[in-house]
Amino acid sequence: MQAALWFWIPAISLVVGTGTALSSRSENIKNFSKSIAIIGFIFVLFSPVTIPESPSSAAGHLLGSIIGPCALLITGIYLLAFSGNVEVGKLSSTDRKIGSVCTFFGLIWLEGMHWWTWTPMLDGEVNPYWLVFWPTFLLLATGLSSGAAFSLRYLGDSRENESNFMLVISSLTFTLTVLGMMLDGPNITSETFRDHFWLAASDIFGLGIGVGLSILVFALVIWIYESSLPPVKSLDVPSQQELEQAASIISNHIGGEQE
Amino acid sequence: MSEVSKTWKVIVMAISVPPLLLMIIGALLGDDISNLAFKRFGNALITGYTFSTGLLFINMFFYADSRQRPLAPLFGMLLATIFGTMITLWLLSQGDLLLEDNGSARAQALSNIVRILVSSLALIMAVVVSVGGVFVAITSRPNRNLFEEE
Repeated sequence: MQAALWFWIPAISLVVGTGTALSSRSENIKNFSKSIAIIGFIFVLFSPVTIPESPSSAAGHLLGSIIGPCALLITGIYLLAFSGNVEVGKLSSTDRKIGSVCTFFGLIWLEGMHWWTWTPMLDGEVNPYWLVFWPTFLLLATGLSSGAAFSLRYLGDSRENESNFMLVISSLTFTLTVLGMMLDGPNITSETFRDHFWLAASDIFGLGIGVGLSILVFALVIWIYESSLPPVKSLDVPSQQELEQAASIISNHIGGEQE
Repeated sequence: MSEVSKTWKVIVMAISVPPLLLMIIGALLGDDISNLAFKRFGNALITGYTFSTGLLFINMFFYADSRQRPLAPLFGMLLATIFGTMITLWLLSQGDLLLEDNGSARAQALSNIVRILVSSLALIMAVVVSVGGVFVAITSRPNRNLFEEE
């Protein structure tokens, strides 16, 4: 009951609030949904304090542990992107330096959670959800960065330098994953990392297929509904008088003045 | 084969080859966790389906807004969500089939939901790094001359 009140209801509010805020067209509903999502987020964040005995609170603990490096990384990337060569709303060169520092420290902080003693620990053990988050992030970042690199090369025009930059990011996450599989960290052994790497890969494949199936069902429901609607009443063929009127309007609007 | 289709094939391969290489390296290092991986795959599939149909059911309300509020598609998505939930609970109650470290079907279902949220967070961060990286790379480059001055 306590877990439902302090974790599950806020978690549902967070998910439903975010979904509604993104989907709704009404400003009032959007604002209300955002408030609900933010309140839910705060409650989930504090769940290790409100319900320390519930296993679900480990997710709140993870959220609290990674919110710092993730916020640094997001802020850093935002500042770097918008202090570059953009036409509108360009940020200053100081923002660029701050962005570089934020991105660097965000990455170091995340790496320190695996390779140093900053690992999210709960009751003397590694937070089980950190072992879900980290391999999943590395695996997806490797694939998506490589995809972005090849998209730039094949879809873009003279984007070889940008493509190479993305290949460097992909190689970096690839190398970090291989190192994690082969070398022990202070809190996570290579064997534990490998086990969770396989579980993360299974998770991604399972989620991909599950989400794909649900989208297929969604499309099917809409298609069945749309095809059951009566056909739209078509207009009668225009009369000779209507055609002549249209022709005179068109002739008045084409041709222009001779220069 | 058209150029466009070739390009898309290359991009899909670029996304999938590095993770596959990592899996080959993992397999060469020789751990047998096939049973656990199968359970995780099954749990992720059924939870992903149910969770996603639930979200699409909410989304259907907004689709209905633009179609004079028909009930049929809403009812269809509600049925799909209920079907997913029932299949999930039925599969989880089949003893050892999909139970991981949890003692009961309910504990496993709740653990699956928390895990899907954590995986979604990891996905969001991976998208931030890869898409953000593309923007940083593009905007870091000086403007190109599109036309030569006469």
